[in-house]
Amino acid sequence: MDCQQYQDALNAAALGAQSGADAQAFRLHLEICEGCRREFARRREFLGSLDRQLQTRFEAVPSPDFNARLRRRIASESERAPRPVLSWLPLLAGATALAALLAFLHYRGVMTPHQRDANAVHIASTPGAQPPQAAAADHPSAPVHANSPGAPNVRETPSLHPVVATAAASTSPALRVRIDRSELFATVRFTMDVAEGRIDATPLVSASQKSDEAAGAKPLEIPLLEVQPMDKMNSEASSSAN
Amino acid sequence: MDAFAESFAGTFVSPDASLAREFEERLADCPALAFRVALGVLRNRAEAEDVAQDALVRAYHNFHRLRDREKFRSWLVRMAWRLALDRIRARGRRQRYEDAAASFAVAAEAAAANAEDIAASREFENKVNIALDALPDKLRLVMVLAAIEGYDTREVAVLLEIPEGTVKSRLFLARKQMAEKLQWTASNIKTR
Repeated sequence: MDCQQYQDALNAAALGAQSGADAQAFRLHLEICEGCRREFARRREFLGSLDRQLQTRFEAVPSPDFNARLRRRIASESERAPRPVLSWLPLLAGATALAALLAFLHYRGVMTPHQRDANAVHIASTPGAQPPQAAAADHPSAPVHANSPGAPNVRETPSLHPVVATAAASTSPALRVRIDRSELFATVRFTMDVAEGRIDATPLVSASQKSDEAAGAKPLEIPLLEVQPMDKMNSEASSSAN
Repeated sequence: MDAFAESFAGTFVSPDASLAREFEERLADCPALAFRVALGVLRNRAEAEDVAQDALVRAYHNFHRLRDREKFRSWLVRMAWRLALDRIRARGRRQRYEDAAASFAVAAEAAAANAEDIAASREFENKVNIALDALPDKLRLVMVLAAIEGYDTREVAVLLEIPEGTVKSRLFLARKQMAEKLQWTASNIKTR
């Protein structure tokens, strides 16, 4: 009798994964084949030994001082564990408000090539200050920021597109606020100091200007964002125009 | 709460006392489970303990993020498994397999020289290690957990959050591949 055809059935049966007609056919074969019966028994024994070997290995337990070490480690790390989420809420609210304020200021901002060259962006920040075009229209004699023949090196941010400011809440100590607009992409990083209970609205990390990219210029990397009052900005623009 | 969890009473500093208490209660048999899972990958007791500790500390720090607390054990198993694999990768796969191959060769020689039972046992252990390592990760995890849980496929399914049928088929494949790797040879097997 050719037992080769029962090899797969032998494995499957030994592994306990045979059922239905195949199982029945194999059982009938075992009844008449001494060799296969022995081989089947040997494989069953082998699998039993394999299972026992693995099971014995995984009965291992950690060393007696495992719990004590874990306890010490957790206790020491607990001393610097983060505060619960709820205690962050006031700070988070403050940061979000700050983000909105920055977005607003950014919306009204102007950028000068001179300032860009100095790797710094100056944003008007006087509350209630009008956008440059409006200021120029209302007060023709006032310092002009944008596209004025008298101020060739001062350029207004091309158009005032809506600014999208999003604040991602997180229990991590850093809150990142991204301010996107069509011309300027900026990332502002807020650091929340829980121990001191304050928020450091430090600084723009990087920025690039799309208009520069479109013109084929190398994207501008601006490592620092400075916020200045509008009147200071105005005086700078005036002196530059003169 | 068992003795282990009791030993932690008050250890966990959390603004939410009930959260800390629940973590303590969930710990019960978990250190041993994390240790065994790590041991299934690393096979070095000291390293497995390190990984188990890392997994438990992570579990402690992130417990508040776990929405379904009933899944604590499976969450911990996955963490321990991943951390153990990370450690293996950091150590370098190549070195690991070279070590395994070397130990296999030594054991084979010992067996050929009419080794005693203990040597035969070690040889088989080495062979099993190699066969276990050769399994794909999914099959290996099922095989390790099945051995840990006494081949209770339902419990393994709960731990892995997969259907029991999937566990059975993976376990079948894992045992088949291991058996073939070991050439269904049980002649010199001695379990300790």
